[in-house]
Amino acid sequence: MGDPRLGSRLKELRTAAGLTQAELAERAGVSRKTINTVENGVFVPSTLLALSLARALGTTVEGLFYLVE
Amino acid sequence: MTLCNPKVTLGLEAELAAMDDRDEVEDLLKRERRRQDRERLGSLVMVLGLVAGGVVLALGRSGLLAGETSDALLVAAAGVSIMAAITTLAFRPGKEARQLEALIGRRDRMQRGRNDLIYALSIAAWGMLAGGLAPLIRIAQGRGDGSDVFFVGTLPLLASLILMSVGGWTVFGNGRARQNRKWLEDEFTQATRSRAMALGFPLLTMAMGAVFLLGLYKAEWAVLAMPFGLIGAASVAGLRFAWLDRQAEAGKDG
Repeated sequence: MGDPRLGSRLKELRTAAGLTQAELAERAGVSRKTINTVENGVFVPSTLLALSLARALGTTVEGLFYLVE
Repeated sequence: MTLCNPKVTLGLEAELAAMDDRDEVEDLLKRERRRQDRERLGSLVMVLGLVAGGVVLALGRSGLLAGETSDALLVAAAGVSIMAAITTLAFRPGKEARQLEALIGRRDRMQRGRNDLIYALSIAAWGMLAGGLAPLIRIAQGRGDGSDVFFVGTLPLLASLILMSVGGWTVFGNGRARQNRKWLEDEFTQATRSRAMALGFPLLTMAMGAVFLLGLYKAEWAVLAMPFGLIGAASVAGLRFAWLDRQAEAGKDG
């Protein structure tokens, strides 16, 4: 489910926003384990989920994820 | 001077509170996982004891095992099952499980409930199979009656129920299936589901192929093997689903 080419700043931005995984999950309308797996790089979110996460954290998808060269 | 800024101080407090919250959840999750491991080990040993008991009983009744040996093995299997049942009861969900439930969201609570149910069904199916072994043998020998057929008939239904639950075609919602679907279905669940089904379906195909070939050789053996193939494939899919979900909570890939 994961992909080593995808880098994520989700955990960084979430903690900076003072949110727990459960709180971000509530805001994005997914389960806590979804957030956990995205943060740990085991699950690559769809475009829709990436957009929801970006909106919940007040950032852009590019701000959340990047391509690992 | 920045520390005197109320906005910054408030942000820091919120962050510290969030960290405490996270630590508490992670600590509770660790303890809860340990408890679940012990409870699941207990239930697994209990089912294995029941399966062994069923096999011994079937072998004893068919005369393949001497009476005294059969009795001794039966007592040993019953003893193991009882000890395992006591262990399972000792590690049943307690205060920590309730605390954790209160901390995590409704979606996680419901998904956890669904996954626990799939796990329990996948394990219980083997117990049902063990109980159905004697009726199956009687039917294969042409001595089966209506109650035997009824009991054995529940086995493919149980296998279907497990596969339907893993596939998301059955929603356990206490009569609120439609409302609960939005809590139970999310992107990660769908990914987990496809991985579990991707293992269960080829297994089912292979098992049915083997049953068919066995039936060409001896038809009654195919009748005996069929429930093993069905329950085996369904429970593997169910256990894979539950295991992947559990791994996700721990943040590891399955």
